[in-house]
Amino acid sequence: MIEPLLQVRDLCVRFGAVSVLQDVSFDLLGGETLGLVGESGAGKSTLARALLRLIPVSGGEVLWRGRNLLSCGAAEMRNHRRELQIVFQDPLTSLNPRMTAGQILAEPLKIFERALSARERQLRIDAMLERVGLGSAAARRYPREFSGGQCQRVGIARAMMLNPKLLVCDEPVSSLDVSIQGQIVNLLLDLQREFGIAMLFISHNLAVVRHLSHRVLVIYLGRLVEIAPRDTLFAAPVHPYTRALLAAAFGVALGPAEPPAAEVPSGCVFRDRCPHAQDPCAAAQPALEAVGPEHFVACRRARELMS
Amino acid sequence: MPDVLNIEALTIDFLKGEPIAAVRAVSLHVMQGECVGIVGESGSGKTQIFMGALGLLPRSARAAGSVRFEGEEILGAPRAVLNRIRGSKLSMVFQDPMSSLTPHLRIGTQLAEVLVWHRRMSWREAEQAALRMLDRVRVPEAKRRLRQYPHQLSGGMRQRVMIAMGLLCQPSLMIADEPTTALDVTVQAQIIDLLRSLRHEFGTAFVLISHDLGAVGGLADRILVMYAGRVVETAAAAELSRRPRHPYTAELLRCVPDLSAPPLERMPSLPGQPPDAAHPAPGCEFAPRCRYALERCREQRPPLREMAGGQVACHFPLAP
Repeated sequence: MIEPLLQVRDLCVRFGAVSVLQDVSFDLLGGETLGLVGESGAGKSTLARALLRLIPVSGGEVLWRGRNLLSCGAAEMRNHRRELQIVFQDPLTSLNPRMTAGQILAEPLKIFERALSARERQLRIDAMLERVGLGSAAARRYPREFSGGQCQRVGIARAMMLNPKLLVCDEPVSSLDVSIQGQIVNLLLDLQREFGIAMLFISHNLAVVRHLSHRVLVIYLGRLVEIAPRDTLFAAPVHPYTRALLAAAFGVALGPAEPPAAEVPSGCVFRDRCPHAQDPCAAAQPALEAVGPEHFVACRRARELMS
Repeated sequence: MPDVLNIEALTIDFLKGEPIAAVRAVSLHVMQGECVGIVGESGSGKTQIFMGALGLLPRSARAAGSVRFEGEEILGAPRAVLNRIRGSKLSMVFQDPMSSLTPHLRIGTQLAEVLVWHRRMSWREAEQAALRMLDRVRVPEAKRRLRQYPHQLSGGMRQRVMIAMGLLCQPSLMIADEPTTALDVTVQAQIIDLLRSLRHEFGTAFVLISHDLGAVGGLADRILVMYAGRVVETAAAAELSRRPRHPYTAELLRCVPDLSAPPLERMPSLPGQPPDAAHPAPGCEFAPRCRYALERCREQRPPLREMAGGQVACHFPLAP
């Protein structure tokens, strides 16, 4: 049995009185891509940021190769950060407008690999710019001189500079034209194969998630409601919310209500939008239960819905 | 059917810094009650056409050509004329519903203001009309929403409010610029459903702008495809997706995600970068990314010519 790279246990995040993430638990294996899907406000970006300790967490554990990231000291965390990198949604605003692409890529090396000479640094930067398809001449250009897709390549190059083990991608293609999205997705696939990195890939776009993921997590109002291998999730989704998401991707609208995060219903969080809800669903949020190989669903009626 | 909007040879140049030709000799028309889709990548000029038509361009831009709205020339018209039309007979819904609402005014005030201004209604009457309109665009608990501020609504609700605002004066044309791009899939389907039913209810003509051919295909009667500031293909929506003539249209269709097909090894995408508007290629601007491009394509720009049921700007169209 291989030890998972990342183990998340009962992770909770609160913003004031609002519970944004509640008891989120999952594992991520080395070299694996885990897709995370859900609507805006479900807590996708919060989860990404909580894992990397970019926001305060109110409970739970994040074990990175066995070490709890949430309790380790600043010096240790700094070392872990080399291996944990993130790519943000908006490619332009996540790059410093006053720095050239070359300067942006030099930063991580200046911080973590101080022994490098300026020339060695330049070689690493040029090689990475070539690798992400921009060419070394791009080093002298500023973010505003790039198109959206090219900016995202710079963002990916920056994240890859230190040979990370895990890349957290927070909606990396959502602000790009459909015609360009595939380029970036294919680049990430190639990098993963080449360097064996694991990815947590966050998106509300199911077509993109299906392309990249080995397994998929479905999140609704801060709770994981289904975890399944990709083909199982797309061919035989069980949770009524997963089913609704897939139907929506085929153009069937989900019921009119969109509950704001501040008014989470009692019991099952999806209860007030669920076509299968019954009185007992109001009692408690169901826990994730195995319904098949590597397939977990948080629904009282999961078995019933499967038959 | 008479035309609501008739644009002829519209050209828009941005003169600040390196001059950029954003829109080049674009002609298009929208008939009463018709839904026209405009599709192209970022920077293709699809939004700028309507910024120019509505007099919303920055000072550094120059627009030339003709834009007639219900027969009246509005390109370069004085502000008084434009203010009478904009938001009343001709309304626009933008991509980001958060930044198009005023953050410190209640929803009710923002909606009512439109009627007080254009219809000279009293505030009380206007709020009543706003309430009825929110009901019609299926905003739940409309009465409570009137008292709320934009940040208290979800993205989908804000977009419904924007659509309600656009419909208050019963426009003859509504321009929706990427109305679903910023929204979740679950909500996208709702907004498309809403626009479809509003079209039949109000008889409003629509222009739907998007980078995603899949997003406009279901709603538009006719589609214009734009590349590098020019129209490169026009056709009836069904015809365009069945038999694209321009290689660019074919590429865009290939990029529309299809969840019903088995997953592919590589995600389809269009190679290369969008064209550089400051340094246009000499021949066909799509040639550097076109898999069928020949010598002639790189030397000579193909004009937009009439074909059965549409137009195409390509030396070697994929279909007759």
